[in-house]
Amino acid sequence: MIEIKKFTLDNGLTVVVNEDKTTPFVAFNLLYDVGSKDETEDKTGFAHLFEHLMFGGSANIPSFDEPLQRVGGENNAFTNTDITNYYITLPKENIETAFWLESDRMLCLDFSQKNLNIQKNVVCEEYRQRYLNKPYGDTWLYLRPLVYKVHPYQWATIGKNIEQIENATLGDVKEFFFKYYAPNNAVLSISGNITVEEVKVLAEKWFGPIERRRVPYRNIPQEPKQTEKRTLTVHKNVPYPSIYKTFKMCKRLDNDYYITDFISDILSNGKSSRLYKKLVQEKKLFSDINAYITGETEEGLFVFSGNIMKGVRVEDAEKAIDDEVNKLKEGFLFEYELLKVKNKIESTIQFSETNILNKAMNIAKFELFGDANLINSEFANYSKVQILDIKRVANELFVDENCCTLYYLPNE
Amino acid sequence: MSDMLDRKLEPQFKIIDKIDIVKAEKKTLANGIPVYSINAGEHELVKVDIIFEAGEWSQKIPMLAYSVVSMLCEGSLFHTAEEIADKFDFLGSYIYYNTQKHTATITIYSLQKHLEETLQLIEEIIKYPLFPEKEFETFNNKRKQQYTIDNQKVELLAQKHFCRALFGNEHPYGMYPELEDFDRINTNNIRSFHAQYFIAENCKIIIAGKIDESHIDLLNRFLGDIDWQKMFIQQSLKHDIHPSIEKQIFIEKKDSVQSAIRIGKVTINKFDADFPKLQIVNTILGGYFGSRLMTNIREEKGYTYGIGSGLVSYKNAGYFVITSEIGKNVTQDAIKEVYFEIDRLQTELVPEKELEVVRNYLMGNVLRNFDGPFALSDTLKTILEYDFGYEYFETYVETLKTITPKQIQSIAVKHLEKSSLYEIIAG
Repeated sequence: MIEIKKFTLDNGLTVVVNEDKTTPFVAFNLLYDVGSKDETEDKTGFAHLFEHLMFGGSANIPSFDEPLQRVGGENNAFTNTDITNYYITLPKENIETAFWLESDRMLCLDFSQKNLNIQKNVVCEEYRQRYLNKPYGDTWLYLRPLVYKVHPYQWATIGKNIEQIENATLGDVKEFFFKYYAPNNAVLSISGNITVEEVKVLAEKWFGPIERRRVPYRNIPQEPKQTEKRTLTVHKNVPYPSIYKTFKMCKRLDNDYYITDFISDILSNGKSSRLYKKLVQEKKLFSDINAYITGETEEGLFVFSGNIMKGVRVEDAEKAIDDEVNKLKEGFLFEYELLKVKNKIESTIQFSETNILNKAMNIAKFELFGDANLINSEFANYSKVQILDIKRVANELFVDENCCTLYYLPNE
Repeated sequence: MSDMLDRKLEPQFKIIDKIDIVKAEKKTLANGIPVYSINAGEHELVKVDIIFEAGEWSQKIPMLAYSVVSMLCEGSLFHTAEEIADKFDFLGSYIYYNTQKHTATITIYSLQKHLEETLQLIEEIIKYPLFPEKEFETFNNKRKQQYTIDNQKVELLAQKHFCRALFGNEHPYGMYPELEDFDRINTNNIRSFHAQYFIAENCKIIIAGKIDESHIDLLNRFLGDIDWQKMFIQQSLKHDIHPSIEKQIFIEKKDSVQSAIRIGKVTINKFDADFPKLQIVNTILGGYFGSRLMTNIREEKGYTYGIGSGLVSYKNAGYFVITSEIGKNVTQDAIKEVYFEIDRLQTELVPEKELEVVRNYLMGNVLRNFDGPFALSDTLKTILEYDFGYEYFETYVETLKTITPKQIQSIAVKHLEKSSLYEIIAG
């Protein structure tokens, strides 16, 4: 159970607080409601590039990192398809430094051509390091456009290609900032050794004076229903074939989300889960296989990803996945299995609540979904799942017309 | 609305000068196993580390130690691999099997209410594992396949050749497997390694969480028996370091778009009084986001997504290393800057302002290392094999508070001499 208090400033900034006196630290998390889904197809990778620019100094403070390190702080950020999230942990005595730094870069960035040029290079190297220079590293660069034809989830957060990152201009940067980096487009969440009264004073002082901005109405093109199964085969310099099978699933706030996630746990959470037991241990078809959901806000994906064992035919490996899927569709499930997944979820949730940074990130995410307190119904939502729910959702989800498969094979 | 704040003015801050450490209480099980008990935190959770002196130092074949500890859960006298996995998952307990250079560790994260059943199973897999042939074959084939994939990564190639160059491929600190080494492991050598090393005399335990006597009783019940004492003291093996004569090594990987680099050397470990000072020097050079290497090579030149340096201490030696993945066309330029930054540490005094940042940043890290039961337990683990007490951290904090730019310079001169550095490039 995470106790949450919240308030909203006049400029629209929502603040969520969880007091935790067991630690000498405070976690400070600022979530902006902008991700790569807000990009246009000719300027992809921009939300993420922008995240890098946020560290290049702001209107009144030349360096973001240095003053923070000077007070014993740590920070980082991430961007995904839905959000951009900045986080700091620091000793409780020095929490005001976080308010000072983070509010100044919300007020106005120091737009510099030099910084833009350098960060473009850094992001291009990140692109090479994480996506191009690792075996199977570019999987999602193929998978996303196969699955989504219209929706902006069709490009990876890092961007469609390196050229679009290289083409970003200072004009783009300024426009993006004033469009999305607004108090009324953000959630500030705090967890740690601080009271909500202290947070109120500091939030008013540092964020209060920032003016509300006109955030554009989000109008994202919706993906039309897929009508036939899609496949793509690529040949690359990798040692073994891999298979990625995806099914489009419901939105994050849909009731079936928990059932769908539950299915992924039945299949692949832990060494006693079905895929590992059958396909790795017993049949020896895969060296590694996973089922998971991407968990995005809009229609995300249920993914099977497996590295196929040397000497095994890709068709046989795929058929074995299909067999497991069919068992679920037929309702071949045991109460014991469901209870096991519920126990694991209970344990995972309890461990996640020991970490203030985790808590701060999560309550911000749930506040964006509508109410930070939703986080406390998570376990109940999973607990409700029954065999019949799984059977129903499996039958809706796992159909050929909803399936996209990428065969990632070694060069011939 | 006008902004009345002076946003240029940094808020007041406090320097951390005291760390409150919840210290472990040392207890002993009936069979002599030392237990370090850390009572901290308010959640009904517990973490247990069961540590055996059974790491890579003790193995004669690469990966044998890892294979042994990983295979513990693959079948016991009383349960099959499948049943064991099922039981742990049903309890919601997370079990991790790992080896380090000198130790093998089984780590348990469990809800307190399930600790008893979890430990019962742990006793079984530690004392009575079967190491069945079929499960071993699957395990080994999977590992082989993963190895082949990893071997395509430039950072792995660079790291492997770096450690080999520093210590020699026969030395546990430089030993990296080749594909054919997987075929040298079998259930026989696994069984005999287990019989030799997974005994009470060779074991230590750390337990952390909201701990009371009842939890120690549980440890005594399942792991405190004299039935797994062997009544002999393990002789520690000897290994000599055989460094490569060639200091510059290039591993070609034609299709790569970046090069991975490793620059470094064998150096002092935690037993040496200079170690805390060298840690501070390392931090200034490449140990945090604001470090000189990051500032110069990433933030000013954009040559890389990340560059850092590290200081690794093992029981019998340490090493210093600079690591990065760099665009192929700027690799040489970046390496030039690396030497430039080392040179600058040796020839110029670190400005007070920069030292203040590093000092406070590192003090924050010390505070983090003692925040909550799980951090306390991880931190204790870093000194146990040296037989240090908590004074080690007090010395470190004292060094942090008092180190001078002059001392930093002389440590850099003493320990980072350029001609002693190895340079490995893969890509």
